[in-house]
Amino acid sequence: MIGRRALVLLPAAVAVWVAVSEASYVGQTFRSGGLGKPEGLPYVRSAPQTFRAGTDAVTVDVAVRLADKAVTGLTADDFVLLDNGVRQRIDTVDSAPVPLDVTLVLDLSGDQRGLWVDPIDPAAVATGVNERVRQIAQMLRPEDRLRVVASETYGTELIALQPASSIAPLRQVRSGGLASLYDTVVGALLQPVEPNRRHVVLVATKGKDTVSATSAPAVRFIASRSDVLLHVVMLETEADNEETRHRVQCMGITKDVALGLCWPTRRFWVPLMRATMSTIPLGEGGFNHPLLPDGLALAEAATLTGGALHQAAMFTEPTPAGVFRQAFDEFRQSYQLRYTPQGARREGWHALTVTVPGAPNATVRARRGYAITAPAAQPKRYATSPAPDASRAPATFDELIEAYSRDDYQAVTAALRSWQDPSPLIRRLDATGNPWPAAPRREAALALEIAESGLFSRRQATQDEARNLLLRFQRLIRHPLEPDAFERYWLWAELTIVQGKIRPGLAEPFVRHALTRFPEEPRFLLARAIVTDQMFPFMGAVPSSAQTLTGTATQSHAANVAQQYGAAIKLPETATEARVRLAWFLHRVGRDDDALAQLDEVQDESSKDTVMRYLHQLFRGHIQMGLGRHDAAVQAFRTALERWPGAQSAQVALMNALVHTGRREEAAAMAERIQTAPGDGADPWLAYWHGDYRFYLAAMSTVREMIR
Amino acid sequence: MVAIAVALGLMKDPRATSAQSPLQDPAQRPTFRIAIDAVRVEVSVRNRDKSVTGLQAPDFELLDNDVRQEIADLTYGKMPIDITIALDVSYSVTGAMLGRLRRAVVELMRDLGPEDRLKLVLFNNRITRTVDFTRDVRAVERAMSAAVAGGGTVVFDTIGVALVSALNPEHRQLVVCFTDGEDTNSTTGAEELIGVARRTRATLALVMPPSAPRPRGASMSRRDELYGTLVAETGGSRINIVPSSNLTDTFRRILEDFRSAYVIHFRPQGVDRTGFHTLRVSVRREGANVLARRGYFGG
Repeated sequence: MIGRRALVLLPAAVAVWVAVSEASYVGQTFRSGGLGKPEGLPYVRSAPQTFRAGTDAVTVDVAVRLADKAVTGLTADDFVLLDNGVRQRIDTVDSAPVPLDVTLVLDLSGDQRGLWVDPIDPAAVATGVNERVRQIAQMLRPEDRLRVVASETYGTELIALQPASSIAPLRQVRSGGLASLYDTVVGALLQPVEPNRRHVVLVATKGKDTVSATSAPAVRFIASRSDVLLHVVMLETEADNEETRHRVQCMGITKDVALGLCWPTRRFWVPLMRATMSTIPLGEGGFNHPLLPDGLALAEAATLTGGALHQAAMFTEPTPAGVFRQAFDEFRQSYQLRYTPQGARREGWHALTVTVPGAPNATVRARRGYAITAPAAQPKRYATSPAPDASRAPATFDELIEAYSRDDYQAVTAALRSWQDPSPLIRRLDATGNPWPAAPRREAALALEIAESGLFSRRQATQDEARNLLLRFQRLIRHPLEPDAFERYWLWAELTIVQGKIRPGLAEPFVRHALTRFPEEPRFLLARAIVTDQMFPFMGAVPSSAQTLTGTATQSHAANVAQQYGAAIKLPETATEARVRLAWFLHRVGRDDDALAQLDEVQDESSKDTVMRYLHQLFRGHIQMGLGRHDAAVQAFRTALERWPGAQSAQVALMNALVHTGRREEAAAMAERIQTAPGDGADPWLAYWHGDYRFYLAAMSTVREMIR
Repeated sequence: MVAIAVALGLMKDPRATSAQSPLQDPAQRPTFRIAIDAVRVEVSVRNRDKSVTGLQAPDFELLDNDVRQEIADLTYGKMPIDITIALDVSYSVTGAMLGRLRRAVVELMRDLGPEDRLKLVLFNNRITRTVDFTRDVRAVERAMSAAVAGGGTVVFDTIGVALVSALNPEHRQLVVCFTDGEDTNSTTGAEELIGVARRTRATLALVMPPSAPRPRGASMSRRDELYGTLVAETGGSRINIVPSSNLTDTFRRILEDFRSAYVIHFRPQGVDRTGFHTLRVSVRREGANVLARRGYFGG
């Protein structure tokens, strides 16, 4: 059976094969500017989320509502606050309004014009945006801040987060692109939130999405784990007008008079269009707009945050300003509870539970927890002078979070290696939500670490949970706009893990997904070939004649493997490894001449990938054995041992070859050496079938760097 | 039932080289009257699971590359035995099974003859000789107690190493490999391993779980095919065990069957010395089942 954990080999120099990382939060990378971006306004970078006051006091914002009305007049005695399950004494309750950060998402996709033939006027679009911004801004207080994001082909930050008083009118706004509603909403939800502020996302949309990588259920999932208040306003009249224009211009007034003046994006993207609501004519000029499944998911997303999806009532249609006015004044009436944690560990993740026993029917909304980072959390300091707690492997989920908070990956890795079954960790991560709400990438990195442990668990159920964890997070880490460096590295780390399992059926969907995001990535192309290669049945390293391919299906599979390795051979980053692996595959299917020809093309004398340099010679020896050239095999195995002294695989292979050449005494001496070799020396061969798993630590190191 | 048989090799007469084992009592040392270039064949003869004893050279017929050969010498139960016990201590062999293995090996030590020796090799991803050929029960007991399971498995590599290192011509060589049969990491291929088995002279006994049931008409799996070929080439056998099997009895029976084999020496006549020689051994006794290795490499 496969051992729980394969040998992980990190060659002396691990190839760095992807672009330089972009150390940015997912949510901080809206495309900035647009035609009307104010000049000279620095992007406001949020501070790390710690929720700590000057002393050890903690403040928690709590909104209490009963039948959509804010419950006022509550005192400290009315609240029960549990910090990591320990009831806390609330020192003060402040009901002063909480400063808000408002992100206004405006749908500028589709047809912003009258007729199709009318030119787009960016200035006119800017005027409309300015008016909406003005309506919101006039309700904000000096301490509040506003950000404006346009949702069209890309989510574009028109106005960076800033006090309303400093916002300059936009002069021109580009519009008319495709609709990226879900991506833009996710981007807004993932914006970092500063301590003691509340983030409100107000989305005004016509309810269509044509290009998002994110789905409406994904929006719902992310919303459920965020601390954002989300309100969605359906611009039904605009949607109806657009629909009417579309019918007239594109489809024609009658079936015989088709103008063909389709709005290009609509015309091309209709097959991919997703809608949150349908448009059902009610009669002259009127439409009914029942929510479709996507709309219901979006509505649920808003509800989960304490917000709502707003549609037209009988005689009124909501506007962003109207929603803001009606809902947020109440929401703003949050309580700020202040307490000094007692009976709970200071550092690490703190799960919070707030209730109001005297109002059992009230809805109490508070963030689900907070993290305190240890002051001595500098990674390098830990490396040389670990804090007392850091020297011990975390034994609980909370301790694990705490260790991860202070970048003590050594302790985390040690804990995960020793955990009998990481299943509870996976479930806890699900239930608790992101321990670092302002740093979604950190949670995504932790998910990788836990998933690696889970996938190599001996329990099938745990393996399934780990697989699902990866599936979930590979959706969450997608940049709303376009694939970025973090996603690339995260996916690489993910692929190293699933390849390590040597379960091609498990790995294949992950590889396919990675290639949809990064079609040209050499390591992903090679991973595809490796996984397809793994699908070929093999018995150890056995290249027996019984395995010679027969039948159309198997020949087809072999051709597929060769073609996929061929794609990786074309790329300089993976050419050597792809050739070596292709050669081994060809050997296994009985094509030793072709295998040798592949190895003859390998130029690895100066290669830093010592694993592949070794395997090249090991495989060359086996192929020569297959061709009956035993002396050449002996030479190749000796070269392999020069490249990786002490490797058992080459020693055994050399011993076999010596036996075949009649040199029994030498063979016996080699057998003696094999059996008495000290220690547990590394052997690159043991890593071969685990594909890129040998790079797991390297990939994780990069991911960890990117979350700091 | 299993009939353990035969090891063979192209060998020198041990007496001619004056090689003596330090453990060997000269008074009890077997006497051979074979010249250099004699071939030794170990033959097990059984009838309904019982060893057939009392046979003489004229009772045997031995064909080397289909040429009948004259038997120069035949002995029974006189040569000392070297047993190599190779135990799979990968993740798949853990817990209670490991404990029973410990007991079985220690008990086996007590059954050894006065000149027999036992060597212990543990393997998972690595092959480690924990005790070299010895008669020290306590050393084996200590090594077995320290055995810890874990890791992948290199069954094929281990069999090759065990066969190659079973060298001492003054002793008959038996390799007993206990494994679940699942090889995950060997570098040795099937053809290579069969080649090694043909070129060495130890007898291989495989103790492993039975094969999975096959649908009617389905062919044997490549894995089972390989294991079957290996034991046949070395004149050995495969012993299927189930979780309830008595390992102590199993190991004891393997040793007894091996011990009861005839050792035949002959000088090849009428055949080329070089290359692979096929061997066929038969006995002129009704109902006798003969096991001997399939051949040897000369030259």
